[in-house]
Amino acid sequence: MAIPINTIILLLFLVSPLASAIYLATTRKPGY
Amino acid sequence: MERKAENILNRYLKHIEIELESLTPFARKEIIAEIRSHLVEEWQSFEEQNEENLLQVINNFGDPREIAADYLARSPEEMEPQARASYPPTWLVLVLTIIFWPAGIILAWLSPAWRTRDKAIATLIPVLIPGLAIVFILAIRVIIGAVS
Amino acid sequence: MKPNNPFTQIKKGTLEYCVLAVIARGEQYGYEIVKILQEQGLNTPEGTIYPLLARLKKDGLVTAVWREAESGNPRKYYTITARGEEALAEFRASWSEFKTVVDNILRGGLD
Repeated sequence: MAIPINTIILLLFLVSPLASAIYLATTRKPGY
Repeated sequence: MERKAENILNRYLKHIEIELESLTPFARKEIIAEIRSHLVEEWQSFEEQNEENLLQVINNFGDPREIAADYLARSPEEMEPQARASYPPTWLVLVLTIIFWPAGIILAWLSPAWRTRDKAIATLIPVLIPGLAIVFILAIRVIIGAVS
Repeated sequence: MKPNNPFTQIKKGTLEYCVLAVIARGEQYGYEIVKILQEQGLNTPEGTIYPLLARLKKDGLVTAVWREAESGNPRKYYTITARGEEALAEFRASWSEFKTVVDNILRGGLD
């Protein structure tokens, strides 16, 4: 594989909290 | 406004004001000002303004005690500032989720701003994405290993 | 109209959103809001609208400013906020859904 697997996994670990936050931001109940 | 009419109006407003004692003076004054404005404007909508239609306007408006009670019934929400303040501000939850995910997620669970379902999904995202990726990669390794 | 008849109950629950909908159309002050509601057939004691407006403001669904009319009468004008728009949109959806469900039940599933 061209990109080391460890790097991919590390990137995913770093990115997923962001995905989490984006999900929360978009599913806020109205009025909050 | 004619003196007698002014007295009638003031007396009615006083009745309401007395019942609003538990509010701050500022809030009380603003409420009375708004009600006064309404009553005056409604009274002025009559072709001729007299005592009789002023009393009509006042009666139409409602019972002072009920009106005051209505304002105060919102007051449990004055006590709710404690309840409301004690839920984490949404912006904080989002920022923490990005900077330090565990703290952010815990706060999110404590906050009423999301449905439980959404909280669960948000919690699972950082677990599932890397988790699935690892499983996927391991699976490929196994397959490659088995083939070679 | 008996105080506890179904229409009264429904009115109580939806009045807040009716007021919000009026404000959403454009900045309004209390007296005007009352008149508009009456015109539309929603006859509610005038004194109940003002505490309701205070609550809308406290909940952040509307903001208010005082302005003076030509007559010199000070008026408190209400404007809807983004939060208010969201809440109104949510209510519209819920109401529409609710209406459909109730209609179905009232029809007794005769279709």
